[in-house]
Amino acid sequence: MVSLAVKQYHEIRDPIHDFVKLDSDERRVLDSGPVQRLRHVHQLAMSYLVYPGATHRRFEHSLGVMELAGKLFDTVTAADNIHDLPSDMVTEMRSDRRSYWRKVLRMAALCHDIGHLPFSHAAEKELLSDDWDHERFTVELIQGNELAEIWSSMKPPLAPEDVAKIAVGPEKMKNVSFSNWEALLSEIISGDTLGVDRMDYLLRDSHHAGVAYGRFDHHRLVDTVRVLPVSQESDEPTLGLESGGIHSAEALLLARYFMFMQVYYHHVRMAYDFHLRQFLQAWLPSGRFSTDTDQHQRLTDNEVLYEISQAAQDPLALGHEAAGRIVNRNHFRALYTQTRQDKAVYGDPLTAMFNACVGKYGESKVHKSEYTQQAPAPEFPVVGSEGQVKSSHAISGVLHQVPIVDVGVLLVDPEIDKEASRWLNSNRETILSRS
Amino acid sequence: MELMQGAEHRALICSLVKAMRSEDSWAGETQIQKCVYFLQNLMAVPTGYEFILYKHGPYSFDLQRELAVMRARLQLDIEPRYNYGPSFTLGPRGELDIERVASHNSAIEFVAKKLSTKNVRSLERLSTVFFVQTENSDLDDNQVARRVNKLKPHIPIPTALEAVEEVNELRDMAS
Repeated sequence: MVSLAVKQYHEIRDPIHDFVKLDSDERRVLDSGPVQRLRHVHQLAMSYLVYPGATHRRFEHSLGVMELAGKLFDTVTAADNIHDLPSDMVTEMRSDRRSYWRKVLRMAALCHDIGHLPFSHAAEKELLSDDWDHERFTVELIQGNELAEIWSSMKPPLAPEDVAKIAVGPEKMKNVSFSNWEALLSEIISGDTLGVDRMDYLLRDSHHAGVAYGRFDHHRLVDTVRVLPVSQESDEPTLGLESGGIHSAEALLLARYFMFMQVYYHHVRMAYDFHLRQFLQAWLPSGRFSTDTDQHQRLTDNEVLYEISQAAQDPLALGHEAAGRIVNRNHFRALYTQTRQDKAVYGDPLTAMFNACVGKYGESKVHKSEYTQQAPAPEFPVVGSEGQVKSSHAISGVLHQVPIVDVGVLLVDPEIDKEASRWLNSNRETILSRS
Repeated sequence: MELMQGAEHRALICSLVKAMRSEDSWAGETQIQKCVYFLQNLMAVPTGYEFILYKHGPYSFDLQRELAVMRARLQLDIEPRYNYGPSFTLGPRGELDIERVASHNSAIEFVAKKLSTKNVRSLERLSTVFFVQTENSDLDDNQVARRVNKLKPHIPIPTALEAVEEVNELRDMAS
């Protein structure tokens, strides 16, 4: 009788990367409760009510981030791609350390989103205690019993703190010190321009929403990432590019701008986020999410959607009105959208419009929704064919011109939107001049 | 002393960028980050930003976000700089609130004059030394230099020791 070896590698089909390959340890983590829960958390909250195809979940995004993290790690640690680096970093790239950190990185990528609340970012800021965010849940879960047991059973065992550090990065673990190498690995996941989290979500969200804005040549980008000194005036290593990848990076940054403007901060999605927060504030005990990790694990979009559908039918239920607005598509409508020109002339036109509308129609009929991108001016080192390192801004004529995403919308109850629109048109200049 | 709030923060950064530019500083993000760190910890300006040891020494993600928000508010703008990263300049609304922080003008001018024209490599050394000194007041100069080398292995101990001397001089001048 022929005995077949137990399969050590597994493949999962994926619309963005064709196949995501994982080993048996990674599959155990994939099958754990915290990662499986992501099958029930929408990647783009209620954007599917605007873009019907955008029903994808954090689960497949996490697989995609793991796949890209492994590829990018292999690129930057390939012998031919290593430029002049400090000795501490070269030590970490040696074979035994290298395989340890590769595993840590892929696990961190797989787990980087396990702390997300129902509907991802839609209600996190307003409905969690001040000192909590989804990254803190992520750290707690990575170091919690279920996953700690898996980390410790691996050969060699992975330190839970290493996985947590790389998953959330130095900003979210302020009291823990990061070596240059650890900071660099966390940048592979969450780096602003060259991080794989962003690469995957732009490609995936674009694919599912059915819009072309988020596409860029990620194969070229991943192939050209290198570890470089930040610039010719610094020796600190960071993620940079070979000059051949600069146009792919430009395309990514433009893709980010378009996706934020067109998809993530679409005015109808902003209205649904508002109604979702209203419902959750009414329905959750004390109006906030629990910070208990067991309760966090039990609550997904599924439970919230069930409660929304029940509350929409029951006039006495908590959050009935907000639930009805979601279920019956009776959401607030956009009355005024802030423009760059209005900001330049009037300073804060959105607040002026909001205050005037509240004075006229009352607080319950009006909502102000705004978002300003808080990412730095995109800058990274680029190495040319002769080995000279320059800032990306010295190479690219595009990067410094990519606008900051800055969205502000005044939303009003559909009962008054037509009348309010007429009133606004008649009083626009008077209102704005008060700002 | 009461910590600064949003509008005061933004006025302080506008005032700092203006002072840096008048010293012919590039006013890149690193220069602004390190100057604000020294403003807060050497000159006792109560900015309230939280700094951790990260890119080129002490770094504040809150300040990074503030710079982006200020670009959106048209208080700051960026312009390309030959061969290097972008420079910050005042935007069309950058001058409007500067008077709010006039009481900190001498501290801002000191930092702009002494630090803002230094290059990234030098600012990384000085600010990391000062960060280690501030966090570990019991360490002597040699111990500080060794700690800096451990945290940032690309800064050799003799170079770190030179930076310790320079920071000590700055502290004397500021006091």
